[in-house]
Amino acid sequence: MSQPLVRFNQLSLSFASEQGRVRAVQDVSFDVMPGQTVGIVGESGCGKSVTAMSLMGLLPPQAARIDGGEILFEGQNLLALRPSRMADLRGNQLAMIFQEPMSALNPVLTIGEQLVEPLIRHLGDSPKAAWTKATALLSEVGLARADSLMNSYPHQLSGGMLQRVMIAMALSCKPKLLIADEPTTALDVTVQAQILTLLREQAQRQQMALMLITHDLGVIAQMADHVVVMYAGKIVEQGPTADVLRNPLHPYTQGLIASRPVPGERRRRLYSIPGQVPDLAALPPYCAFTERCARATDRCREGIPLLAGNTRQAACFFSGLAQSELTAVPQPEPQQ
Amino acid sequence: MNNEYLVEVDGLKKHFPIQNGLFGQETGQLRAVDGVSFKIRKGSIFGLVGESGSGKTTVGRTLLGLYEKTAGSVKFRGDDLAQLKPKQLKALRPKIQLVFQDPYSSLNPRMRIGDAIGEAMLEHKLCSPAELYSKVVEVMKICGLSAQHYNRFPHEFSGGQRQRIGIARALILQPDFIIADEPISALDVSIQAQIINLFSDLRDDHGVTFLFISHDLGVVEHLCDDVAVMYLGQIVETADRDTLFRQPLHPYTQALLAAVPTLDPDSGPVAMAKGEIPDPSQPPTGCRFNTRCPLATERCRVDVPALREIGDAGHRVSCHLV
Repeated sequence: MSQPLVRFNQLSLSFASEQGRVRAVQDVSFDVMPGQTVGIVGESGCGKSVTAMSLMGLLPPQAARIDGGEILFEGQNLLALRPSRMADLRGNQLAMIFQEPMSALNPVLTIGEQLVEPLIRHLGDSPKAAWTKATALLSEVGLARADSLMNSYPHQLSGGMLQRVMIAMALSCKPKLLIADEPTTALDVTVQAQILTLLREQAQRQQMALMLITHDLGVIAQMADHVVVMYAGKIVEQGPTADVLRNPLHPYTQGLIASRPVPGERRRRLYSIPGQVPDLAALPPYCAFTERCARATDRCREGIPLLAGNTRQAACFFSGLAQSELTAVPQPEPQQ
Repeated sequence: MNNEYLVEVDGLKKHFPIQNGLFGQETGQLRAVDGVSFKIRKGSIFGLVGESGSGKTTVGRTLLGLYEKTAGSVKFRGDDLAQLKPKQLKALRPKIQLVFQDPYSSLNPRMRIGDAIGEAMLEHKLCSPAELYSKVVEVMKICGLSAQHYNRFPHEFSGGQRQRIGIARALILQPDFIIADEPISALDVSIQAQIINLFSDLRDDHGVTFLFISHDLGVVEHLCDDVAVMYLGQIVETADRDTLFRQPLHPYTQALLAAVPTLDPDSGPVAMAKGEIPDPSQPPTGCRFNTRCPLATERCRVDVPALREIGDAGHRVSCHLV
């Protein structure tokens, strides 16, 4: 097995707020292998975006505080890097695309001006060579009339086109890792399918690892080799996507799957997880899912279950994962 | 459910003027809704599906009279709404309610939610102030809110709870018909299921009829009895749910269905439709879907296909290739 490209190791971070410190991410550990697609799924406020932002070094320094742990990228701890060194990596080896492509682009610069910037900054291309390269990138992400698009402004493009521009920009320096934070949530379903296809093709072609953050388990099923399920700032379950979706071990993952309508299967009622996501500023000293969990017992109020297991991991006293037979599940080859 | 129609929409059009230039001259027309006809059975949920820009929201708003329609007619319980006198229309208002997409911006932040829910009852003089409290609490219970929430403010509630407050405001008037415009798309997955279940209960236990406007085909298949698919201001296919989801005939419906991600880990994204929805102010000639259709022929670029009945059971499709 090769070395992981990215290793989150016991990462914890918190934000200052009026209610005190909000523990947004606690003890998060997972690996992203080179060329692998890892999906991070969870509801709003579960810490999935914050985890990604911490890797990119994009957390607001006044409010956010790293409480512990490290993020290793090819063995070096990103959290210990000097800002100038981090800026060299960002947009170069590490790239990110966002949910709202419109707000991630500068409205007063043309598409071309924004696309050549990383090429000149990171690769040292001449402006002319960068322009030619950027035009080719636009064609590669499936945009027609790339020449005239280079001179267009963001407001002249549709949401799907802008997301393609963002992908072109992210891919321009051939990053080893692309983080996509809800890349298709703002798009129509037919356009979503196009963008996901594009991301998949490009990740394969460039042997690029993809960290895909989404609330949609369907997108995870289509894209990810490995899935990390987060709840209230912690990983509650992770493992190979097919295994997790077919045999979820944590009650929260089970609830998320059961609350989705199944095509062709019309159950009378959908399962709905009772209650609501707990306040991160006032988390209980026991399993944060207890109040919403149908299986919760007194034991669940005694302490916080650790993320147990090896290839398959779940943080639940009833997952049956402390046993050794589950840790022996062989890791399947990443899907092509 | 029966075959009596509560709402009948015939040839509905809504065109918006496009204004340009220094003095706002009218330079064209945006045909947001361009000849839409459908009927909603009493006690059923009718799903109106389409992507952004398809005109589905405009249909809902025009039905309600929030936009003045350009042409066509809307009948409610057999009465043409345009023929009603203002007094009759006002009496009808409580019977037709709208639930909005965004539960955050549709509530007054300074109003206690009990008062917000009861407000319209007093406005329409449907009960006395003395009776109001018990009525509000009753409808809050149906929507899964407890009486102790009565004096709280909107910011104290989660998104799902606020959406249920929005539904309670509509429900207290005992409407016959609710237009729900993307009521769950702003909500988290675990909360969506609560609202979907609430809607099916309201249909099954209270006989409420719904127009459910959504882009989410998974939810529409689960919830709706009949479905119409809109594209650029027109209905391209309509049928009962089973027919539409088992035998989608229009290439656009097929592309929409294929694009919905399922939980099957062996599946991948399927992009059947090319490109994106064109500018609705300049719709393509011929079939409006021809620019994105994988099957389009020369004829599709020229001839406008009519919405024709295919087989029985009211399955209608507008495509030359069917």
